[in-house]
Amino acid sequence: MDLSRSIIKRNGDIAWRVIEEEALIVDTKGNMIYPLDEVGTRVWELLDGETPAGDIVVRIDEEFEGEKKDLRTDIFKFLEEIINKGLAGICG
Amino acid sequence: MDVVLAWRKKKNGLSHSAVPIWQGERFFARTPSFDLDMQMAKGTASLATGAEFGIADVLRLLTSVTLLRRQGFLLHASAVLRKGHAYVFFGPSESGKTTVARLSGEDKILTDETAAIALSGNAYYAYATPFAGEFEKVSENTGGPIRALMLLRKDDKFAHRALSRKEAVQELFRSVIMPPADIRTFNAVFAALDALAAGVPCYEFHFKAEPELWRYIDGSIA
Repeated sequence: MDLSRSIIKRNGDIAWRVIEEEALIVDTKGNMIYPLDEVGTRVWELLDGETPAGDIVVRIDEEFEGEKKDLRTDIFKFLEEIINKGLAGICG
Repeated sequence: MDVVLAWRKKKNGLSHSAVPIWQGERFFARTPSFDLDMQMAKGTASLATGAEFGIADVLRLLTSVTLLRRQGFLLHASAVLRKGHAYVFFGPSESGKTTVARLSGEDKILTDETAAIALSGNAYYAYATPFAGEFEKVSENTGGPIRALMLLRKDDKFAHRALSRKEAVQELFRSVIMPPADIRTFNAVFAALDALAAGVPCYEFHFKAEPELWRYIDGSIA
């Protein structure tokens, strides 16, 4: 799925907390807890309902060092996963 | 806190929205099993439920909500008071909570199934609860400052690994007995777990059910 222009927002009934720069997020309906790594945490923070997914890729590329090659694919895959789990939704 | 329970038979047709609401110091929860209205400042609670809802369920619920005021919660755990400090052993069913409690010799067993965790002053304490497992007895009403939190792993050897704060919160969360929870309640529990994990060491503890368990803890962890 090409999410470049999609605007994705964290769902309001998700509890989350950043601990030592990495987030734990809780689906309050299913009582499931998901750990994120540092990059996933930054992506999660950017799901503010205003930033297009394509811009999130650019921001992550700017803020983190490392291989650029699969970044877009990896981030979009991550976004699809959290959308499928009901943790976030496409709002625009 | 004194809690007054007003029992009444639940009417048919009540909504089962299961959405708890905090309104200042008042806590409402409507679930498929009961309707609860707690007024924390007055120290009263009104509960509407059918006959199938046991007193232990009621007490567990009231305790969970009340503990939130002390940045606390109920934890699926056994807890042992040793030399004035509490050791909390947590994990899912069959992880060995009762087994560890049975190996505690002369030390006081606070609980073999459900510990109350709450902040007292600047320290987190573990307290006994009446929610016993296989021991089937009400514990003495006592507790102690927590020396260590131990995530139980049955094994054929003794070993331990310190968990990061994030790992500790994640693992503890899985063992918390959650009250009916809205986003505020989840965040309150999250904050309490984080404060606990920041102040108390948490270990993944591999153990075998043998008497030298406490010798290992005293020598390697305590």
